[in-house]
Amino acid sequence: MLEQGRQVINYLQQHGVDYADIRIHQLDEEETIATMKGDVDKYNLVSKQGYGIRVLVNGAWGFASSEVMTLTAMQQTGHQAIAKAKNASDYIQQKVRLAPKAVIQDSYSSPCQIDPFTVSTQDKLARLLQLDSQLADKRFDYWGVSASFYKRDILYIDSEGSEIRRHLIELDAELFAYAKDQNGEQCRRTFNLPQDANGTTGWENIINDAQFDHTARIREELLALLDAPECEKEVCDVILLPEMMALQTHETIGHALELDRILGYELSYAGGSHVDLADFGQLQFGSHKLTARADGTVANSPGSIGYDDDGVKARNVTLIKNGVLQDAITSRQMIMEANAKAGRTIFSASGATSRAQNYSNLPIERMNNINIDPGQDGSLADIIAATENGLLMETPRSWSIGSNRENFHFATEVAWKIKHGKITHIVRNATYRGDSLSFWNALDMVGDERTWQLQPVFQCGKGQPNQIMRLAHGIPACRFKNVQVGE
Amino acid sequence: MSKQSTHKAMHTAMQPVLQLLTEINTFMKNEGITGSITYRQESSHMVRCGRSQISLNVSEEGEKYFVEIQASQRKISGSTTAQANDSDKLKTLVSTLNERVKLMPEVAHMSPMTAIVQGDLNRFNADGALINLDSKVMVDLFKRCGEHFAHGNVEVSGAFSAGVYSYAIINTLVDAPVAYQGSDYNVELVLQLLDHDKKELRVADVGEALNQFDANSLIKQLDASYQLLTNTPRQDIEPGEYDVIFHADAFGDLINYLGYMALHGETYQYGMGMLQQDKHQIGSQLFGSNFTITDDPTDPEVLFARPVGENGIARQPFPLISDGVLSNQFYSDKDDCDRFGIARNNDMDVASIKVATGNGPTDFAAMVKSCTKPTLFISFIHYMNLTNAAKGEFTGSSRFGTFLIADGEIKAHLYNQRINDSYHRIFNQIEWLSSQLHHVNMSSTYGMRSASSIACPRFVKVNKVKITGSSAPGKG
Repeated sequence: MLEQGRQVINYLQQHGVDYADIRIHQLDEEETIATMKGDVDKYNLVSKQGYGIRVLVNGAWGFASSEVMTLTAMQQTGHQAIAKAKNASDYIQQKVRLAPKAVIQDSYSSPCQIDPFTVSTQDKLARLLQLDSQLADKRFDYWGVSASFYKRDILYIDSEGSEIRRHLIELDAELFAYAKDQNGEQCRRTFNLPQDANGTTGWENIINDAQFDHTARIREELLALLDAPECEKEVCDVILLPEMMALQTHETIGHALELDRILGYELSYAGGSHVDLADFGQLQFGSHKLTARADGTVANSPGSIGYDDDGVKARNVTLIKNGVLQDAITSRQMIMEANAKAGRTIFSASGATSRAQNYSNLPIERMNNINIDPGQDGSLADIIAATENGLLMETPRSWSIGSNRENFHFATEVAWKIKHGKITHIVRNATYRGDSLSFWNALDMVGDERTWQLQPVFQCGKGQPNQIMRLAHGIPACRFKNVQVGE
Repeated sequence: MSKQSTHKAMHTAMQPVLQLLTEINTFMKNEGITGSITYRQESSHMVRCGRSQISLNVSEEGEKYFVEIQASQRKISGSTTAQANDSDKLKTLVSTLNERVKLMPEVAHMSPMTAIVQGDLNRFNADGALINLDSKVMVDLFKRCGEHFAHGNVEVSGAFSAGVYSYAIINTLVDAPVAYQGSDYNVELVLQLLDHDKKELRVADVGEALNQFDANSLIKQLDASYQLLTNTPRQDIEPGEYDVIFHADAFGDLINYLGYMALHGETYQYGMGMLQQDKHQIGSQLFGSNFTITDDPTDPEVLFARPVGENGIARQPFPLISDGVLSNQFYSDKDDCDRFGIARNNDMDVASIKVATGNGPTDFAAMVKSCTKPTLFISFIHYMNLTNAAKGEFTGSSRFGTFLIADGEIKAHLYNQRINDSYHRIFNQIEWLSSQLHHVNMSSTYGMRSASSIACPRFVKVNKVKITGSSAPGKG
């Protein structure tokens, strides 16, 4: 397939493209198992093959994809991409330019101890059904476990001479339980399998009780929620635990700092950003305790893929340093365009975040691992002890964000009231809202490394056509002052 | 409203597919396997514009086969990409699944597979002009829009998606596949006004055939909104309850969520929606008596009507909310229905939802004139989500033009307003609905194309909608 891919690139160059790349998914498999109330609710196998061809002609992109793997079909698909680029070039203001990058011949493999696709079906079912049984309670309506395993072999070749193979394995797993509360209204508790940033990504995560068997905690928390009082409307401090911090970071730092979004390319769908190019190096995005990164070099994460779909090697980019905005989530194309628009060099190199969901999609700026550095405010217990009147919140239940990411309204699955440095009781239906910049500037305590976790996200949507991306957030527990809750 | 397509052609690739499905079905029967095979295909084109230039011009060709095998009370499923000459690949998938299904534990509530509907039900409704659409047509829309607004400091954005999609299904209890092929386009055109605090405007359109697409009309609509936004002052309002007139694009989004929250039978059975089984049943008065919703594939006013669902269930006129009373709920998924001992009755994924019209104003000027008291006009709801599903509570913010109307005229345009309310309240407080329908796009346009739209009144006035904040600095 490597030789065939090279032939396609040569063929496209002979037909006048300024640049071309091909991404060939030689293998693209998914296995999903879900249980519910002791039954196997779903067992599904997916197998795909296909490729996408991207070309630059007259300074405009054209892209076409197909699942017919012959050389002739690839050449025809390339012609479609060329025709589309020519049409697109009829309405451009400035030609696409790509920032320089190193020519790479390399390969990357996800770190994995036990390839989930080598584990027997019986063993997989037995483990998931065991966890399912541990979630059961007579007050619950539904409970279960789901796990999805992904394996992809992707060959990338471009006209600049790069040839990169990626062998990617990812897994996504969840526990869930639903029950009716005292008013007959449904409550839920869920738990997403976190990743060990320095570990591996295989079946070993599923059989590690310390990592995945949170069944007892989830069951007990849901039982407590059923008889809990509702969250009251007030202004108080909030402490966000890792699953909630991941959402907060994702929606109000991650999406807000995608450079294509800042420039206006997402306007018709996802929206814009309150951040302007003039803000870089100046905007006090958050308090001095906030340092955030787009770190594609995390050893083990669905957001770590070695090289992005521009063929750029993963980097660790500081987005926000001590509260001041420094950089963005960037690609080769967008940094050239942004620097030209700003009239100064804001972005020195691509952040290697140009990614496509599938062979049928054009790559765009996507989050990789949008992380927040751990702080020096101690453990979670230390933060709780320092809180006079607050709410400790965990696990997203709902999220709605302003179109420029300027404000947000989030609901959580569970929260605990804190009074005078102690947790007093659990509350249900907790919500909070705020203005993004005010909120991050109200960050006054950042937990240390003991509170830091890597939370994977497997369902991040962006773009037209919409693309679902896999990524993660490494975040500590954090406290924010004077937040509106319960509304 | 006339969106009926006139230019139809059968995608030539369908006949070999139907032959392959029949061949694999026969293979399964001969092997003593009980199961089904579903085919899905798409040819999609999309052009996207941002910063007044084409940022993306893509196409996708995709064909997938989905196999489901049921062995007594054991079940397994799988899918693969394949072409119509790949019978060996499909037979291999069938054999792999058939081996593995033996490892599945029995599910006590699993019912036997049922035959898919048979008869003269194949429909090939694709518009030949959309099958191999020249992307120049799509690029030209944005170019013309840019030229029209060249006098203003604006940036043109948007997306134009078009394509053809097919599905066919057969199972081992029948001999012939049932197939559908359709086409669609959907467009959204957005302006950002750089001299006006980056305010945004949007128009959208959806249809079945290219001859329904009217670039001039879209640009004219956008221009009308542009004039409104540039000739009125901006102001903010205090949180509180306001009468709101929703444009169809906003109301259609509310209806889309209502579908999942109240009309999706499986959600109801799982207790995950806004209805509780001890309080709300078929026959319950849920909403105001001026609110009626149907799913009727025989209705000439709906788009993308399919006589058979992707699950092989025949579709008939299906009243959902009749004068505010819950008439029916969709039951589409066999696994979920088996769990509750309920028979499937439809396929919600291909529903043709229509909200009945009323006697309200139909054109923008008459709508404005009708508002003597302060009323908000919300054209679009951005990022709606459920804050408490059990109570039907949701949040979302207005976008693409929010106006304050009073004394029969537009007084100001507003910051984007955050709504925090419940579907129970919204659909019980409808004052009037327009007498004219508008189609709102709900299609999946890429990755597994499937066209869908909601037909709903052009404007709907709702009393006492809760506004809790805005995009004005410090008001989120």
